[in-house]
Amino acid sequence: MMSKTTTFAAFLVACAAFSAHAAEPAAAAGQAKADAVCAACHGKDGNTPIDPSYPKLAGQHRDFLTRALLDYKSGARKNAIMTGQAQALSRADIEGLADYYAGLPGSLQVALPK
Amino acid sequence: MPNVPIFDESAQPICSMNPSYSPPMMKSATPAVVLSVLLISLSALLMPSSAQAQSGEVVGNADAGRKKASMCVGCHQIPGYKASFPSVYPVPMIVGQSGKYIEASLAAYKKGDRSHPTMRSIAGSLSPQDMADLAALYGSK
Repeated sequence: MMSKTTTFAAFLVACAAFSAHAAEPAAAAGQAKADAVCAACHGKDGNTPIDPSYPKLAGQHRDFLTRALLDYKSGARKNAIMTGQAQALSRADIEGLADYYAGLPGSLQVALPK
Repeated sequence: MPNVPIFDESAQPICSMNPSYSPPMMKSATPAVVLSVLLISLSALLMPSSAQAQSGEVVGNADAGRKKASMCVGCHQIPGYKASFPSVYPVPMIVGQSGKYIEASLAAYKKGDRSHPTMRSIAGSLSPQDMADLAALYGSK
């Protein structure tokens, strides 16, 4: 019984370690891609776009960023610049970029200022 | 077959039967009056309202935006809130985006360049002034 519990605990620790490990390379690959492609318009920190009509990405929800890029790629979301950019991205690229930008500190928030 | 005219050409319009009669509107509406009324209406149409800048660009007001935000807060101001249709993902944080991006987003939903059904429906009900007011409320200064 004890050994079963220990095994299960070890399994949980391994799962946690694996998921933490798995997220790392995605975000790292995301950063390389972000610096090479996205930073030119959205800012190196993802929080200082070069034009006010471009969104801040830093700290945005990961799954929303994924959705936005997938929608650009599929054509569900249309934009003269982003439609072309997203065509060049693989699913793995998109997830890496979403991981990376979601993890950056930014000025976006949920609550409205009073 | 007797020749019965369908339209009696000799019949006169009622007002011309009485030479002293003329419609009350026509009596005072001289061409000069008509012209000036038209010019005033035209200038009112062309004159920018107080909410618009000289360039014709719509200028938003955050206080006005606060009164129009009831459709936004039920999703965007709920921490962790997720859109559930057509796919499940957290709704974006919009507080702190630039006002110009928020306006561009709403316009894109209204136009159909962005597809989320709920947002398309909401943005479709907004005027450019509504969008500018919401952008002033949500956008970073």
